[in-house]
Amino acid sequence: MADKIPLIKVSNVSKSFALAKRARSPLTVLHEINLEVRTGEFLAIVGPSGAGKSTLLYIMGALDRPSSGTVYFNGENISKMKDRELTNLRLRHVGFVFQNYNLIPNLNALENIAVGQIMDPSLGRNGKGASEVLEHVGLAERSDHLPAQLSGGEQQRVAIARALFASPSVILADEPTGNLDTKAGEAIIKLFSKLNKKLGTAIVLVTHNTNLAKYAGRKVEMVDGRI
Amino acid sequence: MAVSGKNPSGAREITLVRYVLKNISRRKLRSGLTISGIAICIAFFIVLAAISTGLNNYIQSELEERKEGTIYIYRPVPFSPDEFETLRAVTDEYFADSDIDYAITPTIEVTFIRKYGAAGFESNVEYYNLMGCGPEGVHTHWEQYDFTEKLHSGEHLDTIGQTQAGIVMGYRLWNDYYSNKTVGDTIDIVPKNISFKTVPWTMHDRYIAGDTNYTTEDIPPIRDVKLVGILAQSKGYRWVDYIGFLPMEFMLKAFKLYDDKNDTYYYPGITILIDDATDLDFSELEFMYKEAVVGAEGWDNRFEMRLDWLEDMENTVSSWFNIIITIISLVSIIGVSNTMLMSVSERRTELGILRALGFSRGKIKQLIFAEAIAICLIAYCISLVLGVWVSHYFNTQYELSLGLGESSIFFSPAQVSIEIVLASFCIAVLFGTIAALYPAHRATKVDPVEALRYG
Ligand SMILES: Nc1ncnc2c1ncn2[C@@H]1O[C@H](COP(=O)(O)OP(=O)(O)O)[C@@H](O)[C@H]1O
Ligand SMILES: [Mg+2]
Repeated sequence: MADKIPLIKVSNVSKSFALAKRARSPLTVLHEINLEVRTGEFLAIVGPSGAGKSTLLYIMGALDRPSSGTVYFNGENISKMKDRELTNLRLRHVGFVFQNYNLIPNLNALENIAVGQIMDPSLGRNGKGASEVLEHVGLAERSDHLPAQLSGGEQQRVAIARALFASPSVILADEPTGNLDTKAGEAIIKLFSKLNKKLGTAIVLVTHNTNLAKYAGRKVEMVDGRI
Repeated sequence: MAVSGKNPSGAREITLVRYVLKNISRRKLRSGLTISGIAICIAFFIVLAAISTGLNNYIQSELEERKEGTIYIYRPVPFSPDEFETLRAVTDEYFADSDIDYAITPTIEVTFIRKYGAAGFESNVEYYNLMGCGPEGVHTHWEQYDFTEKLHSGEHLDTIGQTQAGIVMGYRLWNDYYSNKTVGDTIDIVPKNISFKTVPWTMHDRYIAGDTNYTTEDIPPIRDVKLVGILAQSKGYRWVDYIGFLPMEFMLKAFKLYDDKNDTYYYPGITILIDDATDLDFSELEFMYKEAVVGAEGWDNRFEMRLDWLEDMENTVSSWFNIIITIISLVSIIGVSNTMLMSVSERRTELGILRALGFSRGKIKQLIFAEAIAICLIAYCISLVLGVWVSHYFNTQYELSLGLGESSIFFSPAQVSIEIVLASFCIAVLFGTIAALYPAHRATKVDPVEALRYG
């Protein structure tokens, strides 16, 4: 079953931002990046702040488009896809986890996890239900709690459960431990590791903390928009 | 086999409606204020539309009644028998060339009200009427409602050769004051706390002198009246429930409209019945009457007055209607729009997250539209209760004021029809939709990457 086709393939991707209108040259954040994420692997992207890790992650997750280069998802060139198709890809095949959890404040844990059902009522139907996913992250008891009633670590678990809900092929986590203390942060990374092994979901972990990268199966270092 | 999953299929954890309602209820004060504002606006629409409909229907039915043909002429100074004969002659002359069937009969109507208020009527008092009833019986000028059919029991009133006076009572009058009596019983008509409005013959001098403060004590009680019939509770015309009918001669005597020196009856009112009044020129007829009875003051052609007033009111309402609807629409739409814009701009991050999680632009739009429409629909429900209540109040007050012979200046017939209920529903949805247009557009412009980075 070892697929020859990588799950995500980033090929010669550059990204620049036009700065102020009068600035002569745009700011280039990613320089011809080449990177592969294999099905079911746990990859860590490590680098200092400002290296372009988030930018790269968003491009891999079909949230942003590269300025040049190509991104393949399951062998399909997504750089040319319409916005609608990218949205659908994010809904079904990508799970995002962010540094500041980004839960919907007035939805409880269970509703936050299943929030994709508003977009597509059948979402998560053939996979695990929201409460089962919540069990996976060890928060079965907190299903009707609002984000404000949960600790940072717990909120991040709910966010991970939300990312898992649609049974995506990959979870893209952008500094998921950035707002947590060392202990809680480590617990989160261990949870990723466990889910990766148990469910086979590929995980891309972005962090500037080299310590945490040791849980990953593979580590890529990134400095100044280059790997 | 038995699925004991924690997520039983069919039950969804979150739906669009739930999400929208949670959003609305999160900001209780703001949503509450917006909803109240819209509710008042829509209620305004409902009441205005109800008044317009009510007036139109009312005028329509009054016109129907006019076709049936009834004119009442009242005068605080009763007509003498000579004057009545003069009026009869004028009427004969007026109708001479037409094929219209008509009849002219003397009328007496005594209004008594529960609370004393002769000088100026409180608008919310219950009133009851005593009507004088000619030899034709109760049947007289109520053909449209055909009282004879509705009689529970009792018989036609017939004054000819009748020595024992009898009364046929409307259901409400009977129920309020004489419910312990049945047909055949003898009663006195001087209920406690009831006072009379109509000027009795004995008070005539005081009326001319400008004294309008009569009290119950001024009125002779009507004793030993035989209850000969009770009208069934009327369905269409509630007013009838408040009426009692007495034989004409008896009434005239009881109210001292009988001059025993000359052995003559005086008539405070005249009723003209016409089988088809469609082409009748009321003002011409009225003019002829006034010329015929020189010096007669205080003419009161109630029917025309009421109709004129209703038509005036209807014109006013409909000309104001458009202006008010425009203002209401603008206020509502701007209000909801503003609320939605605030909601969108303070939820930029949330909307960006939803986009990142795979919500399409269309779905985001849908969320904003749903929220605006939900606000308007909640307001609609409140406005419906409010509007129906106010309309009902207007209607009741108007009906009450009717019997006092003075059309209320403020209240008017109002009727909340199914059309109004549906129209205001559509208006609520329309308000929400229009109000959401720009906020929804703004919401779709949220760039998820930016919202995540700077949110
Ligand atoms: N929209 C943007 N406009 C201009 N510069 C940006 C924009 N987004 C990111 N950058 C710049 O790109 C660089 C890389 O950002 P980022 O991908 O967030 O790095 P990291 O996640 O590794 O800290 C930073 O210098 C940042 O200021
Ligand atoms: Mg970053």
